[in-house]
Amino acid sequence: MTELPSPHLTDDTLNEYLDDALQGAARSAAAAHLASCAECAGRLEALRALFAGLEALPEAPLERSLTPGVMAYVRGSPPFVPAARLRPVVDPSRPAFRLIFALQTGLALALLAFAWPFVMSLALPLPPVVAGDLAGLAAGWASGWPSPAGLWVGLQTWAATAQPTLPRLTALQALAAGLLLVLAAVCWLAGNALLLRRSLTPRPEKNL
Amino acid sequence: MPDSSDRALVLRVRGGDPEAFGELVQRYQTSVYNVCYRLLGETGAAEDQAQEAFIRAYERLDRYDAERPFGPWVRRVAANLCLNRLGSLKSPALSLDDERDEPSLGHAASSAAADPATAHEAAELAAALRAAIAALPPGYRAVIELRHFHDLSYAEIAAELGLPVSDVKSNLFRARKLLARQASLRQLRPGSHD
Repeated sequence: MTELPSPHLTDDTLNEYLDDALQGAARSAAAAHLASCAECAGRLEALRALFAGLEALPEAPLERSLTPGVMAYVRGSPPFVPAARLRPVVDPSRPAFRLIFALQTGLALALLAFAWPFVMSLALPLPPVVAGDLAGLAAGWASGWPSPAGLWVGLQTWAATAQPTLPRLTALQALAAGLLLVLAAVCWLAGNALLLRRSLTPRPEKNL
Repeated sequence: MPDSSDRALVLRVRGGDPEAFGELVQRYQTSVYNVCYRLLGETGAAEDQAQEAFIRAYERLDRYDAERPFGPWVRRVAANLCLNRLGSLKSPALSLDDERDEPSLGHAASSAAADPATAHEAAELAAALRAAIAALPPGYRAVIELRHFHDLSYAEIAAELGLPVSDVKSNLFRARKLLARQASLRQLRPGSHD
């Protein structure tokens, strides 16, 4: 004997109805049935009471405060240092920035004035390049890869002709120049360290 | 007078004042503990997880949108921690046969059902319901928690738990039936026409 389908709404339908998960025609049909079926309406009310009981469930008391344990961890952790609270990498408004920048600029100009004659005397005499050489090079590439031996000879020839003539300095002059370069480098690095340092100490908050 | 809103406290913490976080803990520790208690069903474990939830929240505070309420966010952090602790939720521990064999909650629930008008009995009723939640299988507790206390939709719960929506609905409806039955609340017990 075949069992006839139940004329009542299923529990799933009642749950979906209360969860607002039943839409459109299905919801209308359920509402129509609930309006005419006391048994299903009663089951819906019982389910609704469970919903209300859960919603009204008072909070269980907490036996011990969690604050000491949490704050022990928080105080032992590095403080939040968001980017906005760091000093700007370059802050031209700071007097120290202007002073250090002026010193670095003066030092750089003095070093440039000192080094200029040496730089001029070190100007590299590049080998003369004439149109014939370029044409020969182009022909070599067009006819195939040049041989490694030919390249090596060409490189040696170029290096011999391009070798700069270094100025002859006395020992005292060389020592002075070296010291000056070291001093300049140290001053430059120290100045940059001052300019680019970040403040990890947060400012005290007053009124947020 | 300093602004003591959640948003202001969060901004103070982010601004390098960790003590402001203590005020947030004080403010939400009970509700966070209750999330953990409902999901874990045991006071000691719930306290530990609630504390861990606040620590996790502090560590992730830079990702929190201060324009949204802090309470629901930290409660979700706690819920996720507890759900991770509960482990796999795809196989509820109870079968349908087990549901029928669940023990009654005894006198507290019965007396609460008899006359829920008094405050004492209301407290008994709450205790019975709370105990009924604690007696649910972990997977059922999870769907009840997310649906009724975090107001998530079926799809959101499914995404949260990594389950098909059909499983979420099945677990949720069975959990409700178990709750009604376990709490022995006659007025809450729906009939069955599955």
